[in-house]
Amino acid sequence: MDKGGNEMAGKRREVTRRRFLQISGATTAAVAGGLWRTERSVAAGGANLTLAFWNGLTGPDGRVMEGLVNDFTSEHKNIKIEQQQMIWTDFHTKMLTAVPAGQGPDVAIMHTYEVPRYVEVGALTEFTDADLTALDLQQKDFNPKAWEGGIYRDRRYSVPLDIHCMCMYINNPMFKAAGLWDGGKPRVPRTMEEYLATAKALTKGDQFGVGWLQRGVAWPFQMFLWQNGGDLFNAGGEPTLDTPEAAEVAQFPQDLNKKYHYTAEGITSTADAFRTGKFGMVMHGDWNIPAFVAAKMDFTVARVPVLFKKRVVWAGSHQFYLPAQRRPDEAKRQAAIGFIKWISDHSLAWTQGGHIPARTALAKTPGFQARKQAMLVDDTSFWRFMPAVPKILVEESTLPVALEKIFLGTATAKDALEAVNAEIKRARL
Amino acid sequence: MRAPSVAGRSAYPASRPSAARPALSVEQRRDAWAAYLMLAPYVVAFFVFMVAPSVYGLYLSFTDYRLGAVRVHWIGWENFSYVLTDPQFQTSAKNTVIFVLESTPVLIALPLLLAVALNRGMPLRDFLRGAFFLPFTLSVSVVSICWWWLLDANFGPVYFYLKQWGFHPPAWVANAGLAMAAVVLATVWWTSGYNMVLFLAGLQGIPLHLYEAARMDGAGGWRQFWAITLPLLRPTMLFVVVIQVIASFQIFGQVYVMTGGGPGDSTRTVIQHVYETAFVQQRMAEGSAAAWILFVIILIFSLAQFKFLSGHTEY
Repeated sequence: MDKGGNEMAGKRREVTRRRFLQISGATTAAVAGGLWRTERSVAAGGANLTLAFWNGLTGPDGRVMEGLVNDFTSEHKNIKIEQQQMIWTDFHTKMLTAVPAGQGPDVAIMHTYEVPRYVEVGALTEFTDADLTALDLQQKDFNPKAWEGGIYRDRRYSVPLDIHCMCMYINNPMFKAAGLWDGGKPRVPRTMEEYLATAKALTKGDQFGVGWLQRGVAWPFQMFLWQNGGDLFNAGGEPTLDTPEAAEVAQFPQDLNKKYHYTAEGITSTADAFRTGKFGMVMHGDWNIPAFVAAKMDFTVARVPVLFKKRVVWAGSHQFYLPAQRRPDEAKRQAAIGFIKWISDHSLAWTQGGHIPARTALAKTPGFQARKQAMLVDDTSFWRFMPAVPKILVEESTLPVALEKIFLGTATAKDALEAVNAEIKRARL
Repeated sequence: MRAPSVAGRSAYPASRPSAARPALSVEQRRDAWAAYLMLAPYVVAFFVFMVAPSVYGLYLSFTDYRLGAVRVHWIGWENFSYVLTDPQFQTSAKNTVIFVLESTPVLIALPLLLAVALNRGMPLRDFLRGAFFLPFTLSVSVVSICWWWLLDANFGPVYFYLKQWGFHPPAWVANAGLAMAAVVLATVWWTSGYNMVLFLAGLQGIPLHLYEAARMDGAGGWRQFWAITLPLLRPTMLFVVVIQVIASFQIFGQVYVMTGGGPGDSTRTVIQHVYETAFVQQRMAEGSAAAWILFVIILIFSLAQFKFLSGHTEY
C-alpha cells in the first residue's frame, strides 16, 4: 500500500513545469468553456450531456421524484438524467465505492446526518458562494433549519430539498367513536397526561390507543430523549445513552405496553399499525402520508405531543450533494447545479411525498397549505436533526434492538441502554 | 450399481493407486480438454465471483478498510479480536447455532420421510414430488414475506383462527422462542423439497434385489428401512447433512425479512451481523473478519461430520 503511495508521489514529482502549465491552461479553458456552455445549455439548449443522479428514494416519494425528473428533462431536451433509486444502505455502499473509484454520480440526494463518512474520505464537493449566487439560492429563501443542515464543519456540502419530521397520525373513526371529537376535528393530545388519557379512552377489546412500533426505528425515542433534556452523543461524538434521562424515555414505551396495555406487541410496520384501523394514534414520519392517502384512510395528521420537559420535534432533511469527480467536468457540474435549482423551484410537487418544502415561499402557497402535513410547519423552531457524527450509523443500527428488548420487558431500560451505549462506544470509528 | 460419490469421495475404495496411472492416450487427452472446456464457464464464474471476493475479503479482514477508504492499512488480528469479544457477535453466533440445531434435524427427517413415501408407486406421485419441490424455486423474500403475513399476530389468518378457537398465543415476533420457531417453519417449508429430491436420487440408487431378498427373509417395512435403506443412504445422508448444516449456518434472508433479528437480538444471526457491520455501519473490515470466523466454524463442523458420518458403504 505504502509502496503504491510512493509511486504515486514519484509520478506527481515527474510532472514538468511545462506540462503543468499545459494542464492548468487546459483546465482553465475547460472551466471557462464549461461555464459558457452551461449558461447557454441550461438557458437555450446547447451541448447534450447526461447527469447521473442517485438517491435512496424507494418509497412513494421515489415516484414523485421520477415525475419531477421527467418534467425537468422535457423542459431541458439537451440534458439527460439517469436516475438510480436504491434502498439507502445500498445507496451508501454504492456511493462510497463508486465515488473513490471515479464512477460516482453527478448529483445525489442524502440525509444530512450521513455526511461525516463522505467528508472524511473526500467524496463530496463544496458549494461555493459563487455556485449559490449564480443560481440565486439564498439563505433567506430557505427554512433556516434546512439551510443550516447543509453545513458540516463550517463548509456547505449541500442544498436542502425538504424537511421531514415526526408527526402523530390520528385515526378519525376511532376518535369519533371514543367521543374525542370536537367541531369536526379530533381532540389531539398535547401533554403526557392528555396522551395517556386519550390512549386509555381509545383502548377497547381488540383496539388499542397507541400503535407503538415494536421495532425498526429509534426516531421517536430520539425525539423524546431530546424532549427530556438528554442527547444521543456528547461533543466528542461518543454515545450518551446510559443516562437517567434516556432510561426514563425508554421506559415509557414499556409502560405503554406492559403497565397500561394501551398498545399491542408484534407491530413491526407503521402501515400495518395504522391502515388496519386497530390503533388510534401512531407516531412516525410525515413521509407515510401518501400511503395512507392511497389507502383512502380517514385520518388526521397532527403535531406530536410534548411528553417530557420541553417541545422538541425530530426532523430530517433530504439535501442535494455534488459528489467528487475524478475528472471534474465544469459543464456537468453547472448542469447539476441547474438541475438542483430547478427541482428546488418545483419542490411544491415534491410535497406529495408527505414532506415539507425547504423553500419558505413554497410552504406558504395554497398548494402546500392544502396538504395534510401543512400545519407541521408550525414546529419549525422545535425541529431537531439527527447529529452528523461518525457513530450515528452504529447508533441507528444497534439502538432499535435495545429499545425492542425494553418495550417487550425482556430487559430493563437501564441495562439495555448501558449495553448499547458500550457497544457504540466500542466501535472503532 | 454405482453409489453416489460425495464431495470427491467415492463410496468405493480406490481400486488402483493413483501413482501407477498409465499415461493418457491422445483421445483421452482430447476428451479431458473437452471436459475442462465445458467446465470452464462455471469455473471462471466461480473464481471471479466466489473465490476472488472471498480471498479479497480475507485480506480486508486484516486491514482497517471502511467503505469509502482509498488506502488501507494492515492491522493484523485486531479485527478478529474485536469481533470475537463483541457481545453482539457472540449473541449472533449463539443464535445461529441454535437455528442449526433446531432446523437441521427437521430438514433431514421430513425430506427423508417424503422421499421414502414418494419413492413407491402411489397415486399422484409425480404431482406430489413436484408440489413438495415447488417452494424451493421461490425466492427467500417471497417465502419470508408470505409466512410473515400468514403468521402476523395482529392481522394474519393463523392468529385470527387461533383466536377464534379460543387460543391466545403471544405474538410470535414478540417472543424469542416462537420467533425462532417461525423462522424454522418457513425454512422447512421452503427447502425441504430440495433435500427430498436428493434423498429420492439416493433411494433410486439402492438395488431393488436387496429389498426382495429382505422380503424373502420376512423383513417388514420398518426392518427394511433400518437395515437396508438407511445404511445404503449413508453417502447421500452425508451429503445432505453437510450441505444442510452449511446452509443453515448461513441463514439470513428469512430472519432479515421475518424478524429483523428480533425480538431484541434473539434471532439475530451471524450473516445478519456481518451485513449490518459491513454495510449498514460501513465497517467492512470487521464485517469481513466476522464472515471468515463463520467460515472457520462451518469448516470445523463440516470436517467433524465427514469424520463421524463417512465410511464405506458396501452393497
